[in-house]
Amino acid sequence: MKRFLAIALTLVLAFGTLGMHAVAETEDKLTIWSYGTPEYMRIYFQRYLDRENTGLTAEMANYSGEAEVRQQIMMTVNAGAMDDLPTAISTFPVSMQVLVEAGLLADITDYVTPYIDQFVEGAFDQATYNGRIYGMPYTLQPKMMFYNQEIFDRYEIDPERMSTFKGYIEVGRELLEKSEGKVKLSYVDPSSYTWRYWFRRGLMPQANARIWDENGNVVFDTDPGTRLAMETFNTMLTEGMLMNVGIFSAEQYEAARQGEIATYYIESFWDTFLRGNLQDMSGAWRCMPAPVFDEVGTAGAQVIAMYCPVNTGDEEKTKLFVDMLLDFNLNAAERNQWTEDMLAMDYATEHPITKELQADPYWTEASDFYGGQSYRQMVTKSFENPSENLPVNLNDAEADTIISSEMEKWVSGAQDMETTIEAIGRELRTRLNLQ
Amino acid sequence: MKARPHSARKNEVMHAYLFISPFFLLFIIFQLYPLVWSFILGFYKWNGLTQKIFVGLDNYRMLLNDGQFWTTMYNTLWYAVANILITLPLSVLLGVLLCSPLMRGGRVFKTVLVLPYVTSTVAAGIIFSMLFSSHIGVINGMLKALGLNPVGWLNTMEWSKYPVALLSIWRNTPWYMLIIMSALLGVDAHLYEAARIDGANAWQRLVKITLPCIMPVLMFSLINLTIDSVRIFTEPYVLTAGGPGASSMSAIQYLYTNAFETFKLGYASAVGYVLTFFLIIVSVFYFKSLRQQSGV
Repeated sequence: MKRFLAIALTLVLAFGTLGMHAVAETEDKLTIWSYGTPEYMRIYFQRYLDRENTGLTAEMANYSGEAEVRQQIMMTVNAGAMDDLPTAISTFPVSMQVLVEAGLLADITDYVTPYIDQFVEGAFDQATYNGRIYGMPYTLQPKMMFYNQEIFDRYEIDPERMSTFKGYIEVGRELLEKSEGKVKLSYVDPSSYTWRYWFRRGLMPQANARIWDENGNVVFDTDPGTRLAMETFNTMLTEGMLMNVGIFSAEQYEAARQGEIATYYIESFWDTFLRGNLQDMSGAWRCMPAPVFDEVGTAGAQVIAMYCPVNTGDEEKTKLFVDMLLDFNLNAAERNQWTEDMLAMDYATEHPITKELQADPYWTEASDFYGGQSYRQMVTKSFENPSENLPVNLNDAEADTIISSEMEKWVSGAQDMETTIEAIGRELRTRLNLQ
Repeated sequence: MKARPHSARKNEVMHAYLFISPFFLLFIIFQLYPLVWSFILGFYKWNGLTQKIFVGLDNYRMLLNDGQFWTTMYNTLWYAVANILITLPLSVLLGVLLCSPLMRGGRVFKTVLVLPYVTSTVAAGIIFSMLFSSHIGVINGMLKALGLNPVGWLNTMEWSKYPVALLSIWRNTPWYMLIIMSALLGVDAHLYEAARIDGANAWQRLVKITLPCIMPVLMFSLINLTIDSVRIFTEPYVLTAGGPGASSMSAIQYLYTNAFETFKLGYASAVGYVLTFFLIIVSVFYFKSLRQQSGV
């Protein structure tokens, strides 16, 4: 009896362990590993798959962020479970480069090249590595400014003054003065979001700033563009124009509701967050393209959001996936209907990145949330005259943590701007073994 | 006495090994193998996807010059000291109070006091982040009501460790209170009676009887609490994300960031082994003290 029990127990354990490796049935699914709020995209994908009678189900596995998607890929590959890899993943340009180097992403250059001219200029730039295309963009986030019109009316300030950073800062000073310190120009997050949004996506490209030179050497502490971006932010920070509060937090929205935050700069994604969290302020908000630096003159850079097909060897599914994304970007009737449906459900939507769709009358319609202003028209306008994104290389992921750490110290008041610049330059060189 | 046949004894040994094999199988797969593998990985540069590059002791050399690593080690030590200095005395105090015959409604208090331990750390972290919020937090509200200036608990480098430590203490105290209570209940009541007859007051009874009697359990708690504190991750991760500027980041969080955010798996392994080395030193010190205390 003892022997039987022992053998049975061992067998159960052994089979249990082996069972963990069991391969899920993926034949009838088109799987995408993503992050954020992917349900709205899944709905479009499923509609496409149904329209094309593929018999496939669109499945979106949702992870906490880009890094976790890469973790999942890493673990799956190292476990040798290549059959478990998804059809496509959401990722950023830095991870895309690493995954390409590892041979894990499908080269889709030949599939998409015939359609590139239909997209806005530079749409595939961040999806391109060594001259080949590995990602299908589903949106480009242009840089915009959202502002509370009621605050500007109350203090009799013309929002158009915010078309330049010089004007933006003057408005910030005036708001502080007229409200006796109550109304802040905007917010600053105490964590890594300051580097990620205010700088990497916002001020740095707009100021024509650089972390590296063309040979990969560190120029953060010597580049005049970087200094311009840092000084602009430093003025807002040290003069108390920025409320120190967590981004996307309840208290941030509450401060906006109380009229204590006048503007939201940087990403067009604020549309989704404002609509979702400040419905009661419908009609109060307006938007415009981001301010520009007089010294540089270009508008905000466009940040790509893309899906990269995984190199699973299943050419048919890769082709189907690319076709599905092309349909999303080019099929006006389906795209407009989907947008209406998403808005009705208070889901996110994406602004089109093809010339034809942007010219479609639907994409100039007015929005009640923006007091009759056409948000869509403003997004299209924000695509004009873009700045170039910061060039990225394989060191960027670590550089982000190094730079962010020093910026957090600066934002918290523990060090000044000069110390921050100097520390970032030194740390980048030391920890990345660079010149 | 007749000796048992050799085959029967062999059978018994076989059965014993079969019964303990599930543990060893799991131990080898999920602990021993990763332990050895991560040690080897410490000598490589690897992002988990492309080719590994052998770098010898470079990861350890870089670690010695990595200011952020030492900041996280300092933070970890800070959390450990705060936990030990507050959690253990508080656990003893609560344990003594709850074991006291004078205590009324003990069951209710026990249940309430154990609640933090059974609450999810992430959920508690979210609540703490609301309590310590600079703008709408209750703590700052109370400070303002008292005429004091609000404090940037979660967004300044000088204060960010305090809410993290407090959350950790709040979570750990019930568990150690229960352990100490079980030890207190094992102390012979006659000792107290004899001490009372001899005229010992409450403080003397605590210092001369209670603490010496529960000393082995206290040492066990001390070792466990030290290890728990060094492993602190969820509290800073949820409350401050380790910031601002790594001011509240623990060493384990730094390891995680290197492994799963910047994908420096070799470097992260080196961090893990340096941390293990420190833990071994602390544990050896504690075990020696424990031996001395118990007279072994």
